[in-house]
Amino acid sequence: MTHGAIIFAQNSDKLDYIKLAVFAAKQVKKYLEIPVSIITDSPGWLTNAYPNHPFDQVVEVGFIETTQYKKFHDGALFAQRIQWKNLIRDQVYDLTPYDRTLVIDSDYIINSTVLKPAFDNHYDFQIYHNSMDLAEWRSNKEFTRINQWSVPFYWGTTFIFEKNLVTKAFFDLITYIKANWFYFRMLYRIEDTTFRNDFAFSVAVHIMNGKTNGGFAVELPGKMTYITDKDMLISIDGNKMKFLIEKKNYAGQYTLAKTTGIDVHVMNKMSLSRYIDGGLGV
Amino acid sequence: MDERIEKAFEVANYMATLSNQRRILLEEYTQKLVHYINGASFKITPQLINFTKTVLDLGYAEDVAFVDANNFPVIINDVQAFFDTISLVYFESTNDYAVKYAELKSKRKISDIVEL
Repeated sequence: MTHGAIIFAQNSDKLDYIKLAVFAAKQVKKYLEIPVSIITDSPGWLTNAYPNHPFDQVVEVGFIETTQYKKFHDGALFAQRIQWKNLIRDQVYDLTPYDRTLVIDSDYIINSTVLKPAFDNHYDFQIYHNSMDLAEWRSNKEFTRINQWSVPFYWGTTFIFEKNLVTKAFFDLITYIKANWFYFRMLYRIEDTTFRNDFAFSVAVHIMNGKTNGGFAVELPGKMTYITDKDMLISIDGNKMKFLIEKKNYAGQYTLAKTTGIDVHVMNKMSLSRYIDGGLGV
Repeated sequence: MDERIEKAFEVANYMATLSNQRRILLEEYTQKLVHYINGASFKITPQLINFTKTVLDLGYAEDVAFVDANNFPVIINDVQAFFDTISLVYFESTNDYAVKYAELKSKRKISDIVEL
């Protein structure tokens, strides 16, 4: 059985996701020691801008013009609307070259070996439900349930699946949910109008569980540790990461935080991009 | 700003950073306590160690069914080896946590807490 990781990277008008994916892939190789492939609509940009990229295979998908935009913060005081291409995650079942695949977002930075043994688990589908915000004061209830009346929230950011009939059904279901997003958004009372993989995954898990608390989705080891886009990454040194965390009620002021040997979802992509360019992410 | 107020804010900042860092340290410790065997995952707790010891004391050392962290059953072929491993991981991780916690407590400046 083959194991490997997949990172999606579709560049937008203001953000080089391929740059983030190259960095994330190096971290995967360093800590998990598995091959990494990229799924992208810009293979030309990858080979021209990053000729020494670490990818095992480059899977090309057609260019998708999207009209979906999302407000991205860069620290607490700045935000801009950026194109958001997140509509092909459901195709990973057909696109992955591996039998058992770890899928991560390009802003998910692996800094530990905690996911490594998860490849040997017997579960069909492993994903994070539990999470930890590096800002102690901030409520993470938006990442607990998709809304206060509805189903548990699952992170589409990171998951491991094995190719089989069950997971094929799961990804087919996500395709169906995406195609009928307006209906499912109403049914599950999702306020966000833009399509989000996290929500589609959460709804699909709920349906796969027979609309009860079933055992289809198994929790990945550890927790989804994250900073939001209102925080900033300062630097990464070995398995240590340093951050500026937004202060409660003091916009533009931050407290320092440091992690050692845990994987972190760095939602402030601009900050991560600055760090990769060399120097600090602030 | 009044010097005393400035000092108070400095202390408040220090306390907030220290408190958050303690939480992160606990999470780092918790992640070290995940143990995988035969395709199943366990969270190593004093309860798991005690239960495993009880199983051994009752004379069951081979092919014993356990239930993992996700409520899936798994057969542990060599219970003694399982016990030795989880005990070792638990004590090493807890010791490491204690050392790091004491180190953190001794830091009196924010820059020292995050090793700037």
